[in-house]
Amino acid sequence: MRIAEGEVVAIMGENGAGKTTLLKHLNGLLKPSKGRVKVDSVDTREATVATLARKVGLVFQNPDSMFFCTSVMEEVMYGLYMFGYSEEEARERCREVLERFDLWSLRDKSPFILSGGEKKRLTIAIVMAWSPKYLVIDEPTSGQDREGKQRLLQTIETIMGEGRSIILSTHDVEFVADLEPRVVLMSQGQVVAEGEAREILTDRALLEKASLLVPQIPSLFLELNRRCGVGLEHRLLRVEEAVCVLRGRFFRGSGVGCDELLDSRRPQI
Amino acid sequence: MSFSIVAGLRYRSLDTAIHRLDPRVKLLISASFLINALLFNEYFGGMGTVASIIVASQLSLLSIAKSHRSLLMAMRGAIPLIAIVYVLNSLGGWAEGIPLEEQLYRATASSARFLAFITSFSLFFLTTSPDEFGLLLFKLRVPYTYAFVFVAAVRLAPTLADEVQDIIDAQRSRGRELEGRNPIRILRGVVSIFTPLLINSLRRAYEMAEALEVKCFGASQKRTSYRELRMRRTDYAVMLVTIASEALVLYLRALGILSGLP
Repeated sequence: MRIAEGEVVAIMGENGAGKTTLLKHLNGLLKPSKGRVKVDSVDTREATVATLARKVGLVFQNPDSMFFCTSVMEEVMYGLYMFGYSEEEARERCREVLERFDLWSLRDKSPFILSGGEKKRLTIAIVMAWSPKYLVIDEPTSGQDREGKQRLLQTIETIMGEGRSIILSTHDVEFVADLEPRVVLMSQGQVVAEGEAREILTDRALLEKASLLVPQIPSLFLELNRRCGVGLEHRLLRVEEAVCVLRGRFFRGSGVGCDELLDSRRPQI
Repeated sequence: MSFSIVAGLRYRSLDTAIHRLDPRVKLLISASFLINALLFNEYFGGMGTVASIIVASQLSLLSIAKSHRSLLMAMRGAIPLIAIVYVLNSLGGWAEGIPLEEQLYRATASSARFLAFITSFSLFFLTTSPDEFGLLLFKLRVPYTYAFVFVAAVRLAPTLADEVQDIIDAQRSRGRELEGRNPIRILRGVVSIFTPLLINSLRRAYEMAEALEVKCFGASQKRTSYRELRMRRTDYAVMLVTIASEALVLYLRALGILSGLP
């Protein structure tokens, strides 16, 4: 398996499929007993975690496992000091990242008393503070409400725009459907499929191998095809795009703004 | 970095003859090991011999309990501590100006005794579930609240070990160097774990107190128990053998038969 620079990869699979184990190999917390893991041609067995962490920022699944300082600001500053940033530069970066993730007003609070969404944003802010080349996020949506997920999606999309590589593990198919990354499907410690989200997330048989369900919109299209024989293409679409497709198919007219919306998605469809 | 001493003394649920023994009998066997490790404290009074016999006996009994690998893991984790004991004893002997052979013998015997001492309760901990431990304390007329505190502490030890590993992983993932061969750097790294561990432990204790209150802890003065401890014939037989063996060891020591032995 190879992950290119600037690529966004979602590692998907059921609980216990080996997603977290795989992610912990990327910054050397776990070392392979067979095979090799290389980060920019450096073998992880020959480098310390501290060295690899400069390039590979790992966001843990459970935010509480990442916190060990007494305030939000100290949490962010910790890594910066470890990587040798000067006091002034560390403070500057800390302020910048906390403002970006809308956490600056909480800087003196204990990280443990933050809400679930704030904790998750803080874990990403901690890692983003030293701008790692590869951002690895373990189960970004676990324990997040709808608003939290939406905010996370926006955050990740912004980071994607910076050209940084993002590797995330999740079993949240709807979240991945919105991001449309390359998908690596895992089951029982093995990679069972690799490909674009639009191919993997619309293949019901393949997803069932990893105990996952097809996202709701392709699933709706598949059901319409099965029950009504309407011959819709069951592709990954957002709600507003699906509405446009259905209006165009059944109401003879695509509606206001639909052509532009669907055109903007066409290269990806 | 590993915490194999703690991990090596973690209870594993198995169905073996040793696991089925009454916890009171296992406590007696472990206490007998501890007494012997403490009692034989003279360099030429059987210190090394007795300590080696204790460790070998534990390994034999734990192999019946299919848990000898856990003890070996705990012993491997104790190597740094044993090395400290060995070095301190060697330095002590050197300061006293005794011959080199005796210095080395004293250091070896002390290290073996230290190993026997720290592993003396491994048979008990590796084969007794926290629930059995709680019942045992209750039988020994320890008030339930205190018995529960002990049980909770034992039960939380593996969780605490996991928590330590999480903190270490979190720190290493943010650039803290805990690998390599520089002992000062590693020691500084280990010290940095204690503050977050304390905070996390207090938080966990608070959460546990809330969970206990939700489950009506202390609501009734006269509580009932799901399981009762009952001694079987095998338990009585093993208890008699243990008491007889300990009496024999004490008698041998009183007679001075082991004096002069390494």
